Parts: sequence; structure tokens; C-alpha cells
Amino acid sequence: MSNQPLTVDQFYAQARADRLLGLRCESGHVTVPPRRSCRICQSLNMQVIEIAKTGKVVSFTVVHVKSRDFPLETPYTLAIVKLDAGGNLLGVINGSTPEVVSGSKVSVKFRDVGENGKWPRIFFELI
Amino acid sequence: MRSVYVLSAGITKYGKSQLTARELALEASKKAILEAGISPADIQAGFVANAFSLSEKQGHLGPIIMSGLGVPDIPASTIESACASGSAAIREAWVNIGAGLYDCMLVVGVEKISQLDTITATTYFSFGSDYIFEGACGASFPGLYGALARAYMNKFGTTEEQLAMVAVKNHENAMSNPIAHLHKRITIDDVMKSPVVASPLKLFDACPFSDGAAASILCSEDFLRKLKGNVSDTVTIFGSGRAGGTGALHQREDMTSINSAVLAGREAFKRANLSQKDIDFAEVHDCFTIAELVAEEDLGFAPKGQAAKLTQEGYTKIDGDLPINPSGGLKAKGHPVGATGVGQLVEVYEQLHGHAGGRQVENARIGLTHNVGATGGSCAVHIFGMS
Repeated sequence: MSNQPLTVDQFYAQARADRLLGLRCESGHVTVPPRRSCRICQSLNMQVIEIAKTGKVVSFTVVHVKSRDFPLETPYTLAIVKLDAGGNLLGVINGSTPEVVSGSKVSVKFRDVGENGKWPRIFFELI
Repeated sequence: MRSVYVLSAGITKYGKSQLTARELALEASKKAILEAGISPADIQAGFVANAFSLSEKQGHLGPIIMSGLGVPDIPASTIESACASGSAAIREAWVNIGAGLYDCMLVVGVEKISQLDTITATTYFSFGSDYIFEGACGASFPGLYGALARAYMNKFGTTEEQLAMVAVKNHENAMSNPIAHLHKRITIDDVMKSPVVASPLKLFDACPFSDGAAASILCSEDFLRKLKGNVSDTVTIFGSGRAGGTGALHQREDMTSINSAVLAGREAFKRANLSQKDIDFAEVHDCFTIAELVAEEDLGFAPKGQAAKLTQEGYTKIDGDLPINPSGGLKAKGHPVGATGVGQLVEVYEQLHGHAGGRQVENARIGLTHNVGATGGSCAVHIFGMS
């Protein structure tokens, strides 16, 4: 039993049910992905909430290098996304050579990559 | 803090080696010990800088290296701070000697990864990111710097050609560095035509995966006086700075600056009681071409967004006003991860002693090193001069 309000394991368990969880402190800041203290005010007093899966691309790159632990066909587009609810996530944008610019609207989609994946990975879909 | 001196430096060829990590580390250490004119038994403790020795199934490098030197009683711990391991180890040695605990220490950085294929090596390097929310989600090391480069270029208008100029310069410098991994002149066109690794970064924007080791003997004034009778003509650490930064690049509000470098630089300048204009040359962490530009701004050598001009106008060439990476930098000298920060010290040592041959900076009196871990989760900056 952990004294953390939301563990990584719990975050990804809910991701399998297509729910994006975040943490809200008493001042209303939203922290995603889960960590022990508020990313804005370092409060340790946070509640688990479900947050909207939408956001906007802040930066991106088309990746051509392969890695053993992430066996996705290259090239793929990796993006850093600022969630509308607050906080940033990083992940691949679905689709081959999707038309992406800074500011593109996306929604979070969790997907498995590779075999025997304990946790899904964070992906995005252009909307 | 007591004064801390750099008694000697030793370095192996960077590149693809048939030697194991321990053998590389011992080669560099022995060179440093010989150069210092001491015996291994004079060393009181050591720090080993290394990131990926587990790829050779060898952890606990300290005792392996000390045993190899014939002095197994001497303690040595590994410092791991991703690509900043080397400078982190220098920092810890500076702390231990400066605080009066030890008078003579060995710092040795080493990396051996050429036994891994490219895909496996890329995987290991991704372990320096916030693995759960970056590496595991497809962010390799080039991917993270690619996203950083795009954010920087969108904000400031710097072009891919301007990034390429950094690579061209550093390759040119490495032609005069016998131990450099890459001895090959390249043109802007070569860089622009090289295959994309993680846009906008291309193969020639990226440093190679290298094997190598670099070592140094650091000591106190007491030790130096006993050994040489005086403290003149010895490289001294004028200032040291070390700071942390957000472990995950994607969590930062501003991706175009590496805050740990800003903070580490400030501390080093403050401790040295010097400012940017006093620096004669610098070795900075150009893991990718974009990183050299960001470094120049973080250290206060150029206003935000303007660093491309420094390369373009020749300021940062060896015969320019502020030579940057006279060794060839990570780009052409190479990047054996754990060794890099110590290798930067070796370059400063050779420059200050006037032994840098074809890449000698004229009137080199004060040098700065800047060494960053992964995307900036850690950084150490050191300023060196002659006593």
C-alpha cells in the first residue's frame, strides 16, 4: 500500500480503460503524469482526478532511429503536447507522416508497443 | 574551500576500441599517474565516471580499476550523471580535496559501448531520459534533442545551415586532435545531405557513439608543494558549479534553454570571481549541433537566440575571439559518455600548458568546461587557469 495518491502502475491501469488520470492539488493545479508533489507548487496534498485527453502540440520531431524497447516502424512522429487540463505529455502521433505543426490539436490514445507490455505507451491522434 | 590543482591528465584514443572498459580506464589512469610523477600508492581515493558499464556486465568499476593499478585498498566510487558523469566526478573530487579530506585523488571517466549494435546502443542512451514517460514512449536521445532543436528554431529563426556550421567547425578542429574519434573534414553541404536522424537533426548534427577514457590526478596545495617544491605553472580549478534540472525535457516550460547549465555556470563564475570576458576558450557539450548554440547562451556568451551568429561570424573558431570546442567537441573528438567531462578537462590542461599543437589557442590562460547530462537534468561547469 503506497502513500502516493497515484502510482505509475495505477495511472497505466486506468490508461488501459482509456482514462487519463491526473493529480489536482488544493490550489487547483493539475499535475500529469503522476508524481509525488505538485509540479507547480510542490504541494504533497493532491487528489486523483480524470482529465480531458485533449491538448496541443508544443514541439515535434520525425524520428528515424530504431530502439530495441520501442519496436515501432520508423519514421514516426514524436510530439510534446501541452494538455488543455494542464501538464505536458510526450508520445508518438498515430499515422505515417501526419501533417503536424506546433499548435496542432491532438487527443491522447494509449497503445501497446512490443510484446508482453506491462504498461501501454502514450500516443496521440490528430483531431 | 582549499585550492585544488590539476596535477596531470591522460587520455586514450576515442573511437571503436577492442579494449574493455577497465583496460581503457587503466590506460588513461596510468598516463595521468606517469605524467604526474607519482606512484599509484600516492592516490588516496578515486572517482570513476561511467554511465553504461552494465552493458559489459561490469558494475562496481572502482575496485576493478584500483586493483588494476595495484592499490586495491584505495576506495573509488562510480559517479553516474548520464553524459555529465565526468564533470560530476571532477566536482566530487574538488569537494573532497577542497574540504580537506584528501590531498591526492584520481578521477577517471570511461565508456565502452562499441560492442553494442546501433539499435541496442540507442536503447541504452534512452535510459538517460525520463524513461517511463519519455524513453518508453518512443523518445530516443536524438528524438529529444530534435524536439528541442525545433522549438529553438521556431522561436529564434536559426536555420539548419547555421547548425551545420557548428559541425563543420568542430570537424575542422578535430583534424589537429590525434585522439579524436573522427578525422574527416566536412562541408555544410555534407551535413545538409546526411540522413535525418530525428528532424531537424541529421546524422552529421549528431555526435558519434565512442569508446574511450580520460583521467586526471587532482591534488591539494600541500601535496603539490611536497611533490614539486612550488605551486607555479600548475593548472588550478578557479571555480566549480553544479546544478540539476527537470529530468524530463517535455516537462519544461522553456525547452530552448538548459537551466542546469545556467545555474552551474553562474556558480562557477561566482566562485572563480570571473566573468564571461575573462574566458579565453571553452569546451562545451555539443552532443548535437544545437546543443553548442544553447550552451553559448546558457553560459552568457551570447544573448538568447543569437548564438548562431557566433559560429557564422567566426568568433568560435580556434583563431576567433572565443574558441569553442578547440578539441573538436563531442561532435568530432567523440563522446564516450562517462569519459567526456574528464576529456574536456584534459583538453583544457593541454591548452593551458601550450601542448595543443595544431589546435592551440593563442594566449590560453583561462578555460571553461561545460558538461550536460542527457537533456539537461544535470550539469557541471568548471573554470581552470594557471596558478
